[in-house]
Amino acid sequence: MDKKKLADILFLLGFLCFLVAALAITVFKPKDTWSYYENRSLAQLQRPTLSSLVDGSYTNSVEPFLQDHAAGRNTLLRVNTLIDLTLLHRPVVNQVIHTKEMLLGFNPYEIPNQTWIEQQADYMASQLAQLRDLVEGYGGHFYYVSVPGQYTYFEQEHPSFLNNRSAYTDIEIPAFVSAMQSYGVNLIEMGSYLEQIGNPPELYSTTDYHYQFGGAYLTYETILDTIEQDTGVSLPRLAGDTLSIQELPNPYLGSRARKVFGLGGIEEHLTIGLPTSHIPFTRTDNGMPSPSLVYTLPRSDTEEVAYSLYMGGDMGETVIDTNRDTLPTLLIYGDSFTNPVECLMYYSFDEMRSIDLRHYKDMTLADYIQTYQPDYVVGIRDYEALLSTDFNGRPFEIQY
Amino acid sequence: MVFSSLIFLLCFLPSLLAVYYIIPARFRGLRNLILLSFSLFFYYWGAGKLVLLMVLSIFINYIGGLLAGQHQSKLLSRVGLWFATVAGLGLLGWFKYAGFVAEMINDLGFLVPIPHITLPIGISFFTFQGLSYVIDVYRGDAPIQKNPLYVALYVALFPQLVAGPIVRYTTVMEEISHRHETLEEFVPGACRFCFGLAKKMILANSMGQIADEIFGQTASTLPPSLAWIGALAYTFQIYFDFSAYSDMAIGLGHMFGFRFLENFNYPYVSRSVTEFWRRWHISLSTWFRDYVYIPLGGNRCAGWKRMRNIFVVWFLTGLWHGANWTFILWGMWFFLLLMGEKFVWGKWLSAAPSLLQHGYTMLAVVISWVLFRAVDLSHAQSYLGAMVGITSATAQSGQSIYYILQFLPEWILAFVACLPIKQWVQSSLWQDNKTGQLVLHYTSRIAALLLLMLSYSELVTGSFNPFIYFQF
Repeated sequence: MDKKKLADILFLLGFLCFLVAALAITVFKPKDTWSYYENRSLAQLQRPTLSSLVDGSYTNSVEPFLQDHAAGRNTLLRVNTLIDLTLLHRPVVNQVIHTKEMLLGFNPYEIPNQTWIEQQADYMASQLAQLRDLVEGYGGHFYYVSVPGQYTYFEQEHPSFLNNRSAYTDIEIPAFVSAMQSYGVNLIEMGSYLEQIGNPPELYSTTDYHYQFGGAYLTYETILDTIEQDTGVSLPRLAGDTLSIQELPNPYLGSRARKVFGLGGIEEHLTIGLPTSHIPFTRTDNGMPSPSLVYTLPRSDTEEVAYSLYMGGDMGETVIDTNRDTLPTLLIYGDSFTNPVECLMYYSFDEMRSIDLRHYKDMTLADYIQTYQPDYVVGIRDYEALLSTDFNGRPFEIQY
Repeated sequence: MVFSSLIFLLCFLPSLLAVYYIIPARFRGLRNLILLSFSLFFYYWGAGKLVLLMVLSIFINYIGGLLAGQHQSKLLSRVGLWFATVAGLGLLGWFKYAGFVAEMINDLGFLVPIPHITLPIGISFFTFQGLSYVIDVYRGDAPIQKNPLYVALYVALFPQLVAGPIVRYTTVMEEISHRHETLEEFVPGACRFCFGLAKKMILANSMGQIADEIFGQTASTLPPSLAWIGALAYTFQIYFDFSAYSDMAIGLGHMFGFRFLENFNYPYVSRSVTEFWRRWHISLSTWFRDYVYIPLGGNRCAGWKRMRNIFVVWFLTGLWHGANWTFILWGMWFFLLLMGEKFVWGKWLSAAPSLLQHGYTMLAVVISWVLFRAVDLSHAQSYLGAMVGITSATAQSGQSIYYILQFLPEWILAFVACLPIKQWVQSSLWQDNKTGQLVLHYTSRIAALLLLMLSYSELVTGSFNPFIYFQF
């Protein structure tokens, strides 16, 4: 046979086999509903109706479904990521900045609008002042805690041509601090505390947006110190002899590491802090009884752990009751920066309630406070979310 | 439906190939019916109920063709031509330009409601293609096609339906009824498709991402370096996007026995704007040349009339691309450059060093793409201003470095892919060497398969996948 013709036949076979095999595997392979590494739901196929067929919404839904369930997708995602990281050395892979020491999030380029930031800081402070008035109205105490996110804490670790948001942060924090002062709301600005001790790198995660246990512990300590200074109330605290700190041997898959399929080559471990003498407590999550645990520990030393180790991840409502009636009660609210702090905070109070308005929809934060009237209300938000009116930034409304 | 989608690659194409080739070649009519049905489905998948508009357009051209071909009655023949022209362009005008015209009337102070009309994808392409059939029949260059399904197949044939190339009826009229699908045609077609798909997935999409992100920023805040990177990225994107579509269309045509004419011939190696337009979107330039420029008198008339003819062609070329003053300005920019080359600096340019010729051409082309990409005239003005340093430059300048480093492999590939390397290799290295030719033959097949897999990977893992030329 003519050698060129042979090449053509082989090509034709390869071409057709590839298409048919990809189609067959895509159609017949089991369909997942969740992509662990991407941390998102996978697209599902709509049921076709006459109207969706006519208006095109059905046809529009097919391609995302095929993309999410295509043959070899997970492998191809991993291979692409590996090539980008190791062969092409792209500065940003899957929205993650890959440096020698850490994995940072990619921030889109921006031109900070100073006027908007100042107005927004004032608005947020005024909302928090109303909340403070509500709490103080029944004799409680309100504290708001701002914590740096990973991009601020490791501002200098960003390559110079990438956005570390310093221009934004440099306007945001002074504006927020000033607004909170002008409304007289208690603000614990963790950025300044961390700066005072020289921003030790071990306090923040190198593969995740959040702090490490050390950062959370400092936040816990600072909150208790401030309460003690303001009210003279000395709360039991996890420190020194009462606290046992353990670093887990398990590999930690932070959110940044997860985005690059754990291929970033940065090793990190999570730390937990447990009371040396156990405090019995009951726990409910979203009204349902839950095991009396604050850490979701892995089954083996080799299993990967994630930030959801702390408190089992984000929950709408968690109540931990230690049945120590002499101690005050606490409500802590905010995004996921609250989770490792909660793992410590329950120790210092009789009852600790925690709500996350991203998930909790039964009532507004203000109504919740009015209903349960906790002695202390502590809000924790990071710099990125500080001026956001989404969910935990909207205390007087339910946002769906 | 777009070629660079999984629904096309995994479902539509294999199904069509199976159904089409299972029917023996002697049942040509049945094969054509299959091809037409799949083509209509292809259009429906992207356009929904607007597929009815295309069917109407086919009907208009079929009736227009029947009448235009009645050469024994000049009146009837003219009625056919005018019916198809007015009805076809009327539909195009309503769906594409009604909003634009209403806005202009409002700007003049006469308040009229602005219609919000969904633009049917590819309407400019299938309108021009249908008109080409009627005009060719009217002129006697082509016979009447009495089988409406064949007119429908010509207009709706899926490879070139939504983004060209604009296939002339005379090019494919024989092939519609008497084509021969062979392995020798199919395999190069499939290879061409794979190369086109990779060009789209790897180069056009990356460049498009850069261009979209930079053009999406406030133009007056862009530092010059960033504005240039955005303009260059768009220059690459539009070429790779559109030429990739043409590659895939031509390749798919071959797979089903059709030979469409080339639409691009490495336009970015041109040494003048005149040459650029001989290499860029060839099917559109020749359409305007044959159906507008020559009927107006072409070159064979007095100086000012000739200039008027060129002006009309470029005004219409700009307008064809979109209902926006930026497209008209883009057409006028090329009118001025072509006039300049014809009457003012053409001789000087042809005597200039090659590097200068290329530099001048690319500068003119990059500027033209900024006009083309801008949202409106003030955006175009601000963006061009930023390119020459008239800017407040508050955007973070690190972006320029980021866009270079992040997409470095694609930038390098894009520069290389603009050059006619394949032709150089074919013509100089292995021209008279049989072993070399065989190696080239095998290499191209293997490369095509690898690129198919790479494109599949990009399709599966990427989400950035817009096609530019659909809006026209």
